[in-house]
Amino acid sequence: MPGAKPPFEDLYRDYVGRIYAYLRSQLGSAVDAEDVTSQVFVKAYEAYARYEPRHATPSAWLFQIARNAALDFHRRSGRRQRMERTLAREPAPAADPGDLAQERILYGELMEAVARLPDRQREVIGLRHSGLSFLEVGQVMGCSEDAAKMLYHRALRLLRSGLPAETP
Amino acid sequence: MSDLHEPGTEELERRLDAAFQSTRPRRGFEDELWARLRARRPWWRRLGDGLQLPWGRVAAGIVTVALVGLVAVLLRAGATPHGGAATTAAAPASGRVNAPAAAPASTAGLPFGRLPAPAGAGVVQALRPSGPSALPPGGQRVDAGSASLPVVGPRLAVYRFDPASGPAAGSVLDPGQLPAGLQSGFYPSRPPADAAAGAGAADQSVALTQVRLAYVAVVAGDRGYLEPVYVYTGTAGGGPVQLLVSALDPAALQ
Repeated sequence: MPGAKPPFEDLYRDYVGRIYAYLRSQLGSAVDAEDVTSQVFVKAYEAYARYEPRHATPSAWLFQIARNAALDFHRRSGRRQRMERTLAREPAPAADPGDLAQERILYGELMEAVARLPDRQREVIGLRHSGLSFLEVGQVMGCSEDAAKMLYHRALRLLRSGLPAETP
Repeated sequence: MSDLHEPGTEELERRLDAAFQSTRPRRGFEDELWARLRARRPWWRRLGDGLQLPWGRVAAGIVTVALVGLVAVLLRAGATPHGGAATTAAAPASGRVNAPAAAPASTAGLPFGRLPAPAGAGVVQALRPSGPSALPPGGQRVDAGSASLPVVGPRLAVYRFDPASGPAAGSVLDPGQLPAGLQSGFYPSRPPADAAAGAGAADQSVALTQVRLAYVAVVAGDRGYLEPVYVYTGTAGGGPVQLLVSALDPAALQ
C-alpha cells in the first residue's frame, strides 16, 4: 500500500508509543524497551532518506527495524537468561512508579505472558496487536499473509491456555 | 482482530489490544528521544532551527547577494579600458578614472606595496617635437589656478604590467588607451588641487591652464606599473609645457 512519504517527525509521533509497546512485549523490560526503542528510531532516522513508501508501508518499515533490533538484542544478551532475569526482578527504578503500577495492575500479567511465548509466536502477537495487518505482519516476519494468520491463532491458543480468566 | 471464533478468543484479543494500547514509555521519554534525534541532524539545520530561520528565505537571500555581487563584478569588468576585463590584486579592478570609494584591499591599502614614483614628476617639461624635456633649472612659479580640475575619487586604480611586453617607461596614456587584462589594485589618491602645489617657486612664470588624469608607465626592475598622474599643460616662455604630478597619495610612493 504505497503512499506519500510523511515528515519523519510525524512518523515518530505516530509510532513511538506503538514501537515501545511492541518492544516491551518482546523484551519484557521497560528499561530495555526504552533503549531499543531509541536504537530503532535512530536507525530509522538515519535510513529515512532511503525509505521508499512504494515498497513498504511506514508501519511495516518501522516494525521491521524494530523486529531486527529486538532480535539483535536477544542475540547479544542471551534471550532466555535475560528474559527470566527480567521477569523475576522488580520494575526498573528509573521508570515512573505511577505508570508502572497502573500498567502492572491492568495488563502487566498479560504482557509478561506474551513475553514468555516462543519467539515467532511472541513476534506475531506483538506485531498484530501493534496495529499491523496480517499482510504487513507477513512482510515483517518474512512469511505469507496466511502463514501469519495461522501463526497468530496458534499463539492466541497458547496464550489463552496459560492465562487466568480476567477478573471482572 | 481474529477471523476464528474460538471461545474466549475475542475477549483475549480485546485484552491484548488494550494492553498494547496502554503500554507506553514513561512520561518525557518521547520528547527526550526526539531531542536526541534532532541533535543528530547536521549542524546547519540545527543552527537554522535554533535561529528559527526560514530556510527558503535564507536561500533566496544568499542567491540575491550572490547575484548582486556578480553583477557588480561584471559591471566593473565591463568598465575596464577597451572593455577588457582586468584582474585584481587584492582589490577590485577598474579602468574608470574616477574610481568609487572602496575599502582598501589590504590592511595597508597598497595592493602592490609602495610604488616607484614616476620619473620626471613634479618637473615642468617643455613639449617639443622630439618629446618633452625639462625646463632649465632655476625654478618656475607655477600657476594652476585657471586649470579646471578633474573630479577624482578617494582611490585610483594602478595597473601592473610586464615591462617586456608593456609600454615604455615614461609613456603617458589616457585611460582609454590602457591595455586590457592588466592586474589592478586601488591606491589612495591625492586631490588634484594639492598636486600642483609645490611644483616650484620661480622666476619664470608657468601658466597651467588644463589638467587631466592620465597614466604614466613606471618601470622598476622586472615590474612595470601604470600609475595615475595629473597632466597639467600650459605655457611657459611662449612655448607649451606640461607638468606631471602623481595622482597618488605621496605615502603610497617610495
